[in-house]
Amino acid sequence: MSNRLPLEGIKILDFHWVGAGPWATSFFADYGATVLRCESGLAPDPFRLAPPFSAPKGTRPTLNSGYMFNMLNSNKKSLRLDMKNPRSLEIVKPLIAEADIVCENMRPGAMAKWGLDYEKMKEINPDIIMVSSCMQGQTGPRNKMSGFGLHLSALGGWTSITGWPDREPIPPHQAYTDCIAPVHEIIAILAALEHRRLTGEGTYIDQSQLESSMQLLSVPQLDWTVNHHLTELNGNRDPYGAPHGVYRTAAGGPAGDDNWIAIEVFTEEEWESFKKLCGQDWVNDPKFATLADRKANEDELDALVDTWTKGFDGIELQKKLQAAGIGAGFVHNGKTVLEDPHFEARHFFMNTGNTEMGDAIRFGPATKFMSCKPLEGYAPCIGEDNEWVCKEVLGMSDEKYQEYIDAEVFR
Amino acid sequence: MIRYKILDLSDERGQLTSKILADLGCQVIQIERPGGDHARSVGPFYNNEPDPENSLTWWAFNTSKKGMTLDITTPEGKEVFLKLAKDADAVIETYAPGYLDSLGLGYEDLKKINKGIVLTSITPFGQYGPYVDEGYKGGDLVLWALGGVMYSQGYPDRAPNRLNTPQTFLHTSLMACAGTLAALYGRNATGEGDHVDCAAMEATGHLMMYEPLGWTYEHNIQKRVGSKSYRGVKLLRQVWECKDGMVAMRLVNNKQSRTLKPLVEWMTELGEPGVETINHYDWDDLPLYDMADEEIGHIEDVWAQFFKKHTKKELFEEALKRRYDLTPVQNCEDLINDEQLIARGFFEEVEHEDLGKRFIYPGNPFKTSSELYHITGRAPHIGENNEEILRSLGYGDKDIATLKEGGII
Repeated sequence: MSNRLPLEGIKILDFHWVGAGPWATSFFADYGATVLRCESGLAPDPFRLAPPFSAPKGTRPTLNSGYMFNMLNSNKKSLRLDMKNPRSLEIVKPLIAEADIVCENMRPGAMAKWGLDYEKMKEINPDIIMVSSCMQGQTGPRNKMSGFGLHLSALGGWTSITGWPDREPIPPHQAYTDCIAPVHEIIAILAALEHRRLTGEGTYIDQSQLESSMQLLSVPQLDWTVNHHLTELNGNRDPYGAPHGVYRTAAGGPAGDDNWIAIEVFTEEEWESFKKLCGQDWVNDPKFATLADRKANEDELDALVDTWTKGFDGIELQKKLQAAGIGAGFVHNGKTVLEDPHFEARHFFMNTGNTEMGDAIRFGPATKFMSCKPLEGYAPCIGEDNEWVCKEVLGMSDEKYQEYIDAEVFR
Repeated sequence: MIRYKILDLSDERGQLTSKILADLGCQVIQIERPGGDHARSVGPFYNNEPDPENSLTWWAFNTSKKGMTLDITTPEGKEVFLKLAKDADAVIETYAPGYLDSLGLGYEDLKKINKGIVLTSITPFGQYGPYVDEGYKGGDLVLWALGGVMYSQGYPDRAPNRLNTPQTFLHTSLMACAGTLAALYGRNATGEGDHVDCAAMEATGHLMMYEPLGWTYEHNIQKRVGSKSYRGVKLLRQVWECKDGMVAMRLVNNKQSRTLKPLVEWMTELGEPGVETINHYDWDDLPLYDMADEEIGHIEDVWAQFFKKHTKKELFEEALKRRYDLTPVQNCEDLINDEQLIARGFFEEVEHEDLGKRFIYPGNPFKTSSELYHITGRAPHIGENNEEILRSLGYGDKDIATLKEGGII
């Protein structure tokens, strides 16, 4: 089977940096688009300098030794360019003319400072698609507010619904909104490409990560606007299941001394299976007979389940429960997730280091196409593709290329 | 606007996929089993009255769609479905792997009548692999667990936490939407559709960033530290009680500490008791990682006392004015009144003419220069568009009556 990739032919000039933006364009790169990272060595992508590094202990990490960068930028190309050098525009403008999409996630106004806002881009390329993604959007009173994941998770409502009712709320996963916005950006770009195919018209996309993330908060949001009911902290409980929680399993398991299993019992059939498998006296106590009973006595139920699960290895218990028709999953950490047989069989983790890095773990895309396999290339060293861009794409002579090197454009 | 024709057979785990496509202008038919889809039994409910027409889960993820009921397990229902599929661009589904094949409606079957069709399957574990072979079940909590991101979320003395509203299948639906559009883009060149395989375990696994790298290259496992932050250096507070709720803020290292300097200056102006014990630090370059834990604890205590005397609004307004990094911990009530969201016209009113009301919904996930994304209407009632859709396929009054009597629609 030929491996024709669905996004072949798409050209993206990528001014993204850090996490969320590069995550979006990595989907395009993994599935065949030409994604050219346009990046400065003077103010490098912070992810190029984020640990862990491949550099040996005691040596200084380079811009090419960061594994985080590798994870989100595989299969892309890199043009190292000092955008503060006015002659950089001589290289960028013809690339804009060639591109389908230009994207960036800098502070609002940064592109305009380089003379590259959407209106200017349209003069160069009338049907260009441009994405500006930032924390709270290009407009509005807080468009330039600074902050990081902690702040946006709190602002977006996520922190208020994560944790236990008797404790301080937990800012989820550090930068939860960063995990949502990239996928909306992919969707927006693909929709704009189809819109262009139908109408010949380009699009400017103004993405607020705050707004994108709120689509995943739709149900609690509607519960407020419609019913004036607030979703609050509730541990791991669910109105339709009990037991429904995360319980401790035996120490010395795959996660060392801190092993847990998630168990979901929704239907009466599942509860019957659970009773049989568990086999403890308490499962037959009438106070746990129906879902309503189990919900009414959930604290006690959870404590009893926890006493039972503690006697088992977490992975073994997951197998037993699943074999009995009950939803269960070991709580993976950064170590055990790499040992999961299902992830392994689906080739979720790839190994794609650059020339300086050697081996480097990254995830594959979370969408698979039956007709093809995603690319397994590495993330470029900074400026790795300068010569290719200038000579092959822009058709520059050796002399001309040298002239730009001498003018210190590629810094 | 984009104009694809989409058939959606999915339940609440996949409906966001085609909601986005419908809001983008696609013609989406949400196909439910007669009597109504499972999503309709999932709360919360309008007025807290459980009823298939009252599910807010259904409302949230089925805007802008048409709705029809159809029993695709019967020969007559299958025939209707295949007629619709003949000129559809994509089908979305959440059945167990192989189920549509068993009905003769799998990708290979659909491809025979429509070479360019895209079938997008959303499941807990994908279309293949050991957990599929073993018939594993996975709801939101199980997928959070297996996805590897929940482990470090929670208190050290308690179990890891999920968020208190199902998320994993929504992440998967976003990936499914991206995958569907990507496959349709690829079709422009080949004329051929594709089968898109979206596993919630992978979409959730994708939320990991550092975790597998941390273990592989630093032998580090992110521990649970409750509401605090720990990046291998210092344990730092992140959420703080104020007069009427909570705010989020964290001490930061070196030059980043400039983002907190204006707060210390404001406290000094107000003569906050204790501020004299913290305003002598170099807030342009705070050597946080070299400071003693007691010193850090003391700064945090002074802040904690200060915040308790002020409201979320006061602390945030001053943060915006003076530019220090602090936000309120907002809930859904706060969000509806959020100035930035209001200024950008984020929320949309959706007409529920049947109830004589308009309700506020979260609006566009992105804004565009020409209108691409727009909620055009509320979620459909059970079988609301049955007749209209069947007529468009050439079914007459008599045929429709027969289908109705047979329990097909």
